[in-house]
Formats: sequence, structure tokens, C-alpha cells
Amino acid sequence: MRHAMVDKQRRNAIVTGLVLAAMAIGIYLVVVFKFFLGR
Amino acid sequence: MSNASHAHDDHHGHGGTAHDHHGPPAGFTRWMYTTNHKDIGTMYLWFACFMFFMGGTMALLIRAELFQPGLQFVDPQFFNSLTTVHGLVMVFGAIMPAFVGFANWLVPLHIGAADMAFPRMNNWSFWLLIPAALLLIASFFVPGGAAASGWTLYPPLIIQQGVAVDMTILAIHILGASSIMGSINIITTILNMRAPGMTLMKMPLFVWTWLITAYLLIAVMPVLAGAVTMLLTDRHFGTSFFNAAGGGDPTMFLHIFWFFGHPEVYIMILPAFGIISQIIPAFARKPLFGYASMVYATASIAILSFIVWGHHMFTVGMPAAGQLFFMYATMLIAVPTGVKVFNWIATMWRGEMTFETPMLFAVGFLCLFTIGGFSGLVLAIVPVDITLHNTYYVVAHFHYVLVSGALFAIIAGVYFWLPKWTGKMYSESMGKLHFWLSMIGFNLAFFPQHFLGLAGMPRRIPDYALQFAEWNMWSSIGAFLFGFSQLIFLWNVISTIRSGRPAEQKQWEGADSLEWTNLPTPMPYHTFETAPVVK
Repeated sequence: MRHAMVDKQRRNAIVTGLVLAAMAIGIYLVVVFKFFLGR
Repeated sequence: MSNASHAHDDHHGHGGTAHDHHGPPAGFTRWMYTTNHKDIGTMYLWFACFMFFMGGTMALLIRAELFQPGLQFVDPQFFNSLTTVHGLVMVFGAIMPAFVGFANWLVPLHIGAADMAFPRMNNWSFWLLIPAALLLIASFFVPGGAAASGWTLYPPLIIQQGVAVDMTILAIHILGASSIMGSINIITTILNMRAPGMTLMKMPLFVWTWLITAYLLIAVMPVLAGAVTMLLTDRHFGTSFFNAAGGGDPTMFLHIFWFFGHPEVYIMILPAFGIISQIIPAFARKPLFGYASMVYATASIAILSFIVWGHHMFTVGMPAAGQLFFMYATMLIAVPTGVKVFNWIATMWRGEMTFETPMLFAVGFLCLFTIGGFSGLVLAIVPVDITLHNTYYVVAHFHYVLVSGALFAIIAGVYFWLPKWTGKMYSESMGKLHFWLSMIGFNLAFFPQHFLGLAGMPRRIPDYALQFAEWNMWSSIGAFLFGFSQLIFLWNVISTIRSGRPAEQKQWEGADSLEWTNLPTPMPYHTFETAPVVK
């Protein structure tokens, strides 16, 4: 099934996934710590 | 990704015949360990179905209590718990997982990919839903009962309630993590795994709507998680983010919650737009009118959804400039939404239309969602909203958007793709009966709630003044008719799976996406192992 994914696709997919995960974690930390530090 | 390959090879190495790798393993382990997008999509859809009936049962308890004035069946605290958990279960347990189920089934098929980009994370996204659902439902049985603040979890009330609130907060964290992982998977799949020739502007509109929805989810689910984390620390760790007694500001929670909450509304409706945009062209036997404008309208709605959150809180005390900004920004959303409605109607214009069950639900969606959109415009007007805020008019509005909008699209989509998914055809007569009973029941349940709201009946109350009695009675009758007619749907789906007659490869003459044109019915367990070439 996975044979359709060539190496370049796989690398791009991992980079895309990591960037999106970093976005989500970053937004969470900004929301919590902005208010934490603000109070 | 490589994990899926290992799982696949392992299975192959367990002494199966050469033919085995085309079918799933048997028994419970198939579902527990599956990395197959079709299996995971199926599990999401059944989970959503179960939660829909759970939330529906709560809704019917609410409507039973409101059938007559006075207190009949439940005490007021339990009534408030019912409205709260009904909302949470329907939003996070039914509507959202149902759309993720559709995404799992259809995104790889629509773009010609073999599976999702991260199949094991996909499995984890689904199985996280189970503990979250158990926490939400079990919260009814702890001392003090389930959270009773409304699904919006407003402080200071939410800070004062019992352990059920902590269970709800944990459930929301888990559901958020699941949604974010699902979204990462969907975006990565769409951006990296399209078949040769499947450019972005050739993708079926359902894929486009999910791409945009997944970005919305990644942007706003962490905001909700942040808000409920702060609620948790306010409750147990001595902070005062939202507690006025310690110098905090409850209004701040409203801002943060609705910064999540309004995009969440579009998270629940954009995939519905996608499903409707697949169904209407198929039954009008014409290509979708204005494909590019549909894509841009979807993106516009998503962007605008970030700047309208204030319309949920006009009554908290906001400067006139703020009220005007949020009012005009909200009205602006009617423009891209209008483009979509216009395009669907133009697609049907002079089409060779037939009205099988999916098309009936799609046309029902079009008529009733538009009513919900218009009542939204009414509520966007500040002075009107200040009068109607917290009345049944708001309840009527968002049920027209979420039931006859999101839910009708889900039902339409299930009828549309069931022949492809199961290889069997559902009963058309039962489907049509389901549609008409749903239409009558839904409108009887929710249209009178506009009148009740205009007359001043507040929401989230177990008892009401006598002048509201008659419309409440009709609303409850409609709700029970709508609720029980969904059992026809359940029966139709189950009997199709068990004993439906074989479906054709291209069951719907006008359907033109890859799963209809390139794959047999029933579909093999693994599809597009070799990517198709799209011209």
C-alpha cells in the first residue's frame, strides 16, 4: 500500500506534519502564557 | 507512514495466502489496530452515530420537560446538565467526528491516495475519542451531577461546580488533541499525496472544504485548550484568570472561548458545504457552477470567522465601535455564503434533476440552512441581538444551522456514499420516508422556537410562563417526531449492510469523482496502491 509513497513524498509529509504540530502547540503556549505572564 | 508499511508486511508474513493482503484481518483486532483509512472512517461514523443518539436522548428529555409549563420529569439542576452535555456531545461527539469520518473515507479516494499520510496517528486520533466520551457521559454519575453551565462553560458558575467539570475539561483536552491530530493528517495528506495530475484546483470541493476546515481546527482548538486549562488552574491551583474575587475577569473567558467558538461553527458547516457540493452536481447531472468561486468563498468564510467572535457577546458591555465592527464583519460573511447558495441553485438550473434520498436531503439543507443563515443575520444586528440574546430565537437559529445544515448534510452524505462504502444499495422508499418525517419533525420542533424567542422566552430554563405553553407543546411534538424518525435511518443503514441488494460501480449517473469512476463496487480493502493519473 505504501509503495505509492516515494521518499521525497514521505520527507515532505513529515516536515508538513511537524510544522502543523508546532503551530498547534505554539498557539496553545501563547494563549496560556500570555495570560499567565500578564497576571 | 512507514509504520503502515510494516503493519502491512507483518500481516502478510503471518502465513496468509498471497490473496490475504487485499482483505482486513478478522475480529476485534482489525478495529483496534487498524491503520486503514476506510476502517477508521467507519469507526468515526459509528461513534458519531452512537453519540448522536446519546445527545438526542438528552434532547428528548429536555423537550419532554418543556412539553408543559411546570416541573414534570427532571429537577432544574439536572435540566441544566442536560442542556450542557447535549451541546457538548452533539458538537464534539457527533457532528465533528462524523465529518472526520467522511474525511477519512473520502479524502484519500478523492485525491487518488493509497491512505492517509500518518495511518497510526489516524488510529490514535480515533481511539482517543472513547475515553473522552466516557468522561463526558460518566460525569452525570459523580456527586453534584454533570456540568450545568451550558456548553460554553462560562465562569464564574463553572468555577464553582463539582468534579464533573474537571472530567469535562479533561474530555475537551482529549477531544482537542484528537481533532488536531486528525487535522494534521488531513492537511498533510492533501498537500503531499495527490495523484499525478490532481492539481489543487481539480480537487473535488469536499477535499477543499476539509483542507480549509483542518487549518481552522489547528488554529482554534489550542485556543479552547488554553481557555479550559486556565479554568482548571482557576479551580484548583489558586490562579484568578477569570475569577473576579481574585482580580480576574470572567469576560476575558468569553472573548477567548468565542475566538474558538465562532470558527468552530464553520468547522461544523464547511465540510457540510463540501458534501452538498458533491451531491447537487451528481443529481443535477451538471458540473458544479462556479467551482473556483466556491473555493474562494470557502476560504473567505474561514478568514472572516476569526473576526466576528464579538457578536456572541454584544450584551457584556462593549464600546459602540466594537459592536459596529463585529456587526458589519458578521454581515460580511453573508456575501461568500450567498455566493455558495447562488452556485448550488445555478448548478441545479436547467439540470436533469432526479430526487433520490441524498438529493432530497441536499435540497432540504439548501432551504433550511438558508433560513438559519438569515436568522443569523437578524441576530448580527446589535440592537436586535440585545433584545433576542439568550432567548429561544438563538436556539432556533443555531439548530437551523447545525441540524438542518450540518446534520442533514451528514445524512445526505451517508445515503450518497453508502452504496460505494458497503457495495449495497439502501431502501429508497425508507430513505424518502426518513426525509419527509425529518423535514416535518424538524420544522415543527424548531420553527416555533423563533416565535417563542421573539416573545421573550429565555433559553436554558426548565419551566416557563403560561403564554409560551402552546408553541412549546408543538415544539416537543416535533422534536419527538424528528428524534424517532432517525431510527428509520439507523434501520435503513443496518439493513443495507446486512441484506441490501448489490450496488452498481457508478450508482449515481452524474457522480464523477475518482471513487465512482476508477474503483469497483464494493471497493477493495486497499485502493489506489498505484496512483491513478488524473487528466
